[in-house]
Amino acid sequence: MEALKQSSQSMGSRIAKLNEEVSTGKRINRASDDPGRISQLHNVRQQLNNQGVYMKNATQAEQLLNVADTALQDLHTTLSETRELAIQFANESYNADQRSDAAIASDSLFDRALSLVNTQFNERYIFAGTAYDDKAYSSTGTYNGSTDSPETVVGDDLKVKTGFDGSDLLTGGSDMFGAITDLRTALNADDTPGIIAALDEIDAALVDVEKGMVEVGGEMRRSIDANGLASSLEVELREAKASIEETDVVDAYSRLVQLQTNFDAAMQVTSMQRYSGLFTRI
Amino acid sequence: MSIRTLHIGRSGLKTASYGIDVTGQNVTNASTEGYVRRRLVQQTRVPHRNEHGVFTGQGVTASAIHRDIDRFASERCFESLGEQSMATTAHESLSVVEANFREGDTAAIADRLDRFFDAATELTSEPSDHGLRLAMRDAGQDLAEAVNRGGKALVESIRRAEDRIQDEITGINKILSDIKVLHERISDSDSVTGPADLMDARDGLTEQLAEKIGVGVDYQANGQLTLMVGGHAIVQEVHVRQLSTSGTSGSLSVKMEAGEGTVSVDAFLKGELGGLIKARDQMAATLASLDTFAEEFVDEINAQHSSGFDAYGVPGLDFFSIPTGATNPAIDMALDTALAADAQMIAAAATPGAEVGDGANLEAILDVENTKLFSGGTQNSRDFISSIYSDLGNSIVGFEVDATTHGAIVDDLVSLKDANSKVDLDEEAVSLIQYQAAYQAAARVVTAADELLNELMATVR
Repeated sequence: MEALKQSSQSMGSRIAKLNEEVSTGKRINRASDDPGRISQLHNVRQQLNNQGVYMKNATQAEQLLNVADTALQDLHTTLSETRELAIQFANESYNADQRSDAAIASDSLFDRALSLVNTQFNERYIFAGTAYDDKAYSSTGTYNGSTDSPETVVGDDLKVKTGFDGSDLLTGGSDMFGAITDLRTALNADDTPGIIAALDEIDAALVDVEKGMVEVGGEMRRSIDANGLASSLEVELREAKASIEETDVVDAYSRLVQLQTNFDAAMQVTSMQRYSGLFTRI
Repeated sequence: MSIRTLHIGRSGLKTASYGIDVTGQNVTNASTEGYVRRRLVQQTRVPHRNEHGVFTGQGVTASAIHRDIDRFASERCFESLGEQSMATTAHESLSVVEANFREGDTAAIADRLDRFFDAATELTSEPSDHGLRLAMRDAGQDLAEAVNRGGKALVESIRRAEDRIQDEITGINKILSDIKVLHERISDSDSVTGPADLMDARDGLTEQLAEKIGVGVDYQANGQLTLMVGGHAIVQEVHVRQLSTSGTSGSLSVKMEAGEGTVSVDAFLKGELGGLIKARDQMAATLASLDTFAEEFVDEINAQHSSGFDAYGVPGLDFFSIPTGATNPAIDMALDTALAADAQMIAAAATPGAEVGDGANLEAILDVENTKLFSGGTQNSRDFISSIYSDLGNSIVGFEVDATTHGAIVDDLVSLKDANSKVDLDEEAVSLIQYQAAYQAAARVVTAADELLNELMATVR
């Protein structure tokens, strides 16, 4: 009877543990369930959490960089149109009135370029560096932003730029707004050599924008790679976490049934041990 | 001759009657806890020498009632009981504490630590975003609360363990006093009528004492026991030493009387008291580790945070606070009150320009996650927290294994002990038949003597 009492206590706690395992689906519900694996479990769980944040950050970075890329393509188109305008009116066949009309067209190109360098994503001026809460360029084309670029963490020791110093990216080796302004001045002044000089400036600005497009493209590539890496790591880590932490429900259930059977058997044996000795016969 | 025969018959009747008494006592106590079966020891009475120098028998006498105890198994059983009780108590106490350190719970310290750094990582994507700043502030608050909760649970568990130690001491001293009284009565008792029952009672108390404090047991030839705790005799015949406690919360110590003073027996105690002390010591070690974590982690985060600049371009404050001289930094760790009131005071920027996109200081704060601050520069904060969890878990598993092992040993020893000491009803039924037959035979001797005497008297008349 004493043995049954003790075995029922021990079986009771084992059955309760298995019940918990089956109901939570987890083999490790507290450190004492497998102390040796706790550190590993914590590390896997931390890495898994990290991948989630990295993917979130990388996705947001991709969206921003997409907008930046589109803006630069449009800017390139705008500057190309400005260049074509300059080439067209560098020709001596145009008179002063025609050139004066072209100057008005250059104003429109200036405004388009200004609007593009002040492109926003989620209320952030993409080309204002870390000072992205204000316009990157003033109405005269002067750079107002910061010379630092904001960066977002998208992986272990992996960051991407999520904003650019316009003074470096767009107007580092050239002055696009100066070029358009010079073109307009030359057109108004019917100044052919001035138009040709402005054309050189526009070419330099185009080179800068192309370089900028390459840089933004590179950041985008890094961001997409980081997102992909985090995504595949997440799958691997989820599996690793499951193998450490999760219980094999079928196995746990069969162990539970076995324990209950053992318990029933112990009860049966005990009930058969009721006294039937000599005293009942004398 | 017939008169002597009558005496011989009477001695047989008396002894058989004793035998039936002893058997009856055994049968009726078959299920009495702690009862050790008795055996009547019979002995031939001193023979009579008649006038011819011939020795003639005087019948039989009951010389003693023997208590069938296996001393060796009993001594080992008491000792193993102390080991089992210690491991079981420590396991149970620590399992209760571990409920506050559940694995995979969103309130767990490890999870909160992850979320704090995750929130900082997310803030790097938009350092000016107020929502993300609030998220990082709240994650810091949650981390501090998780550490507080763990610390408070440990302090409370230590207090409860020590309260229970003090409560147990009163009961243990009462057991010791009762053993002393029983030993006094045993030494005064008649060997046939008294001591076996007193010894049963004494052994019952010894078992309780073994479960409470764990004792080394040595049965003496005079039926008394010497009980040892470590190298100190806590019971020696009619001399017992009482227990007491001294020290403050967290370092309560159990003392035993020794000469004019006391001696600490913490290291020797087993049983429930030993288990409580072991559990208390483990809790204290876990608390000390958690305090170390709080102190070192807060220092490092604060150092990084205050080297940056907040959204107003002002140098950063401490991110967390721990009052100077706090007894348990884990309990007092909190978010800085100014920062708690205004998440704009999170010093995300590395430069004082107050540029909204400057999150460079966040990257320095993130570096703390992997800085090996603990265990002599070998563990980062997560490794250290994991080691606190696994240390506690290992301790619980260790005690569980000990409890199971010693439980099995106790079961074996109890079986061995019971094989000798427990009443076997079949055996008692045989004894009863035997003593009944002996009684009938002795009665027949008396009848025969009576008939002879009657014959003689008739002849004389």
